[in-house]
Amino acid sequence: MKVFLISLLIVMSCLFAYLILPNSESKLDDKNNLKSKPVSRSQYKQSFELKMDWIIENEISLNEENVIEVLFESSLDQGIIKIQYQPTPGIEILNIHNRVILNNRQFKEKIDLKITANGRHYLSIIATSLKDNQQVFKTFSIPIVCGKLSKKKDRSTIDANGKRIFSLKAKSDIK
Amino acid sequence: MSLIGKKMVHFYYKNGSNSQKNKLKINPINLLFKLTLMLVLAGCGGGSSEGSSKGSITASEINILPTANAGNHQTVLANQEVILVGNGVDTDGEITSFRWEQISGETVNLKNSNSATASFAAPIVNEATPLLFMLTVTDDSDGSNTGLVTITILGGELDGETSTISGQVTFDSINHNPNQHGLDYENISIKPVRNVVVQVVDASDRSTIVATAKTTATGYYSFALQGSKEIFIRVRAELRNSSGSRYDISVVNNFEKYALYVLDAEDIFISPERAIQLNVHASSGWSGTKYNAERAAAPFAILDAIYDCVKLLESADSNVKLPKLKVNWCPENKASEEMKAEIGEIVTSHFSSTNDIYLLGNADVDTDEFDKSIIMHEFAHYVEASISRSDSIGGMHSVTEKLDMRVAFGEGFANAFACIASNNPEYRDSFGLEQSTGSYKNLDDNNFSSTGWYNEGSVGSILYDLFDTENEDNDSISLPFKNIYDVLSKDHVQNDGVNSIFSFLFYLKIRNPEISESISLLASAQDIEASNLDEFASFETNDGGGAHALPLYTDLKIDESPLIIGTSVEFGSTNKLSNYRYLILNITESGEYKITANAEKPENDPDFKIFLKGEVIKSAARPGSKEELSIQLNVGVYCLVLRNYIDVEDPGRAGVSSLFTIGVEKL
Repeated sequence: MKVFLISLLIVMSCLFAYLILPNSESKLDDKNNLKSKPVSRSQYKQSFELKMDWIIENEISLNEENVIEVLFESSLDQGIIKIQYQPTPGIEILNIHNRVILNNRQFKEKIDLKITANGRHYLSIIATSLKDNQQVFKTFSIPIVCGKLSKKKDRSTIDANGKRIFSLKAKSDIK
Repeated sequence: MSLIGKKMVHFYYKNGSNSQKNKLKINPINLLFKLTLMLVLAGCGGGSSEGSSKGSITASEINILPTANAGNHQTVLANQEVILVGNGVDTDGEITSFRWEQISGETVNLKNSNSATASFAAPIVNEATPLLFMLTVTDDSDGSNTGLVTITILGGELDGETSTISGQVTFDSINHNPNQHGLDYENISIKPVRNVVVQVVDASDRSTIVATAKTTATGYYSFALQGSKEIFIRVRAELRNSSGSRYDISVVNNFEKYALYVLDAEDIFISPERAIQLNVHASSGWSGTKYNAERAAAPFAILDAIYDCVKLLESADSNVKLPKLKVNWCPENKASEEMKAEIGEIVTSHFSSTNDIYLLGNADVDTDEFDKSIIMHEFAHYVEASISRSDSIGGMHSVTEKLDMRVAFGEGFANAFACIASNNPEYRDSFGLEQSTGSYKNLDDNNFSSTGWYNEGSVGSILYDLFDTENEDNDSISLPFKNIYDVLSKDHVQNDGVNSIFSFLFYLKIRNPEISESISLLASAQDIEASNLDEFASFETNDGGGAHALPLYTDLKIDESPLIIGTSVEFGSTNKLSNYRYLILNITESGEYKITANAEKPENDPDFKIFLKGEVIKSAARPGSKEELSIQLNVGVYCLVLRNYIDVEDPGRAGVSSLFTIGVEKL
């Protein structure tokens, strides 16, 4: 009887956990919650390492189909990572191509999209790992301006001779 | 990249660009306006010009005269090296000559007066002394024009209007740990940034260039400046020379739109009579366990290694002309399967025949900016492609492999060049966590496995021993680099076969008959037959243990029974020993010829290319087991290179031999 009660308690605990977890998943899937949800340092530590970069195949232009290729490098097997794209208003996602697996750590995805309004827009990327039945996530934002895709803050400038330069800071010793 | 303990890819992207002279369509109205303008300007002084065109001209032959620009006026100090930078533009042709002359002032010794950039040492004067110089540019129709520039030499003491700013530019040079061969951040040398372009930039708009000079061989710079303003010193990652030896080498950030690296010092206020000493230093960015600041030293460490290479070339040829070279480096540069330099994926450190060198910068994995051997190795590929003829097909390789003889020579030469330029037989490549480990080889050890003409270690060892002064068993030779350079730049460009250690030694012996026996001894120590050497190495007996390695060249006789030639992947595929076979076709009568190659087995696919002194004349590379080509050939010695397509296109293929019959008939 004692054994039966203990077993029943374990089963009930598992059932309780099962009922709770889907709720937290649904919260994470909620787009509004995602944006505002803070990621604590301890949570961040648990998350996987994921690097992201992107290239475009055409210049981003208004009301035309443009293609972005997003490259990922993960500390986890790519098979347990789910990628979602969340555009800000002004970006319309037309198609997400099948994932191309480069190796067990790197993969890439292509997105066809259209910019429907002038100005600066963002394409957020939410990567979710399902490792150990726990969801952790990472977000990235790709800034998109009509006419070009800005990879990141452009640190290079043009000098007086029309040459593009990348400035490094020197240690100066003045006497 | 490197050879030792690491695989390398060597790219060859052939450009199809031609430098064709532009033809100008002359607009008569525009021409009339220009002629009128020239007549008006002919009466003006100060940099406008006196145009002249020799002989009488007719309307259909009118030449638009070039324009001449003698550069900015400068104020300099006594003993300072003054560089006169001129240029000319010809809208209907090209500039064919430059001539600098001194018009007035204390006479100076003008160097390189027949090029766009001339120089002289400023004489010592008691008071500010102006010197006037005139630049004459001449176009390809003998039309000429002139420009003037004034250089003011300051007296012994500063006058009331002038300030000076001078100092030394240095960088952190990380040395290698002699045991682990990685980088030793406890062992940093402060080295001068030599011979690079340095500028004074107006700080108000951070753009206007106030003055330009070059650092000296000890890293010093100096400027004399007028007025009061805020400026900063900018050091550009550029090595340039436009007279005597000619080169234009820059280090760019391929991750940032190929921007040129510049090192900017802090802003400083200059005012009359101030004499400022400003030393500028590029730090490594290393914090003790990682790079936690920008790696400013890296571009200058790369240029420092290349400067040693340039000096070596100048020792052999004071007028060496090198094409423009870009070295692409950034911390994002990492190894990859595909080449996407814009996002830092560069496969590995390598030279591309677009005249680009790519170097790894991926911290804790593999960085090469302080690996002088790697930088010089890649620069050597650029040198061979520029001043000589590189026949190497590139591809993965290592020092333990048996390679196609073209690849073995190209990589062996690059290893030897790195050791010769650094005057050090030790070759190191750092990598790993904190860059703390690395690979090492000493070219003077002469103990490579798989010795022979197909091994890059053997080739490198021979070439280094030809130069070095540390002679050991079988090595009694110490030649100036010029002797090596001459074979590369004069003989290898004319070689009928493919360039290999055999062609190199063959021509070296012809040029240096007095040491012929010593050369043979050196080669023999690496299992290479050179005592009885002809252009096509007919007497070589070392087959490397391969069934289809010898003879190196087979004579392909016209209208005779087809030859049976074998290829093999027993030492690997793509670029290894016996993947390619070489045939010589001696054409004594011009005409149309038909060349056929048939595979013994239907699954094999013969391809061949016909070369004349290294240039591809024709390729036959259709799918299938039979290849046939009709071609018009003039009198000459042609080299036909045969391969099995499936041998070289499948990196995993190994241990298979293929037989082909190949013949030629005159049509």
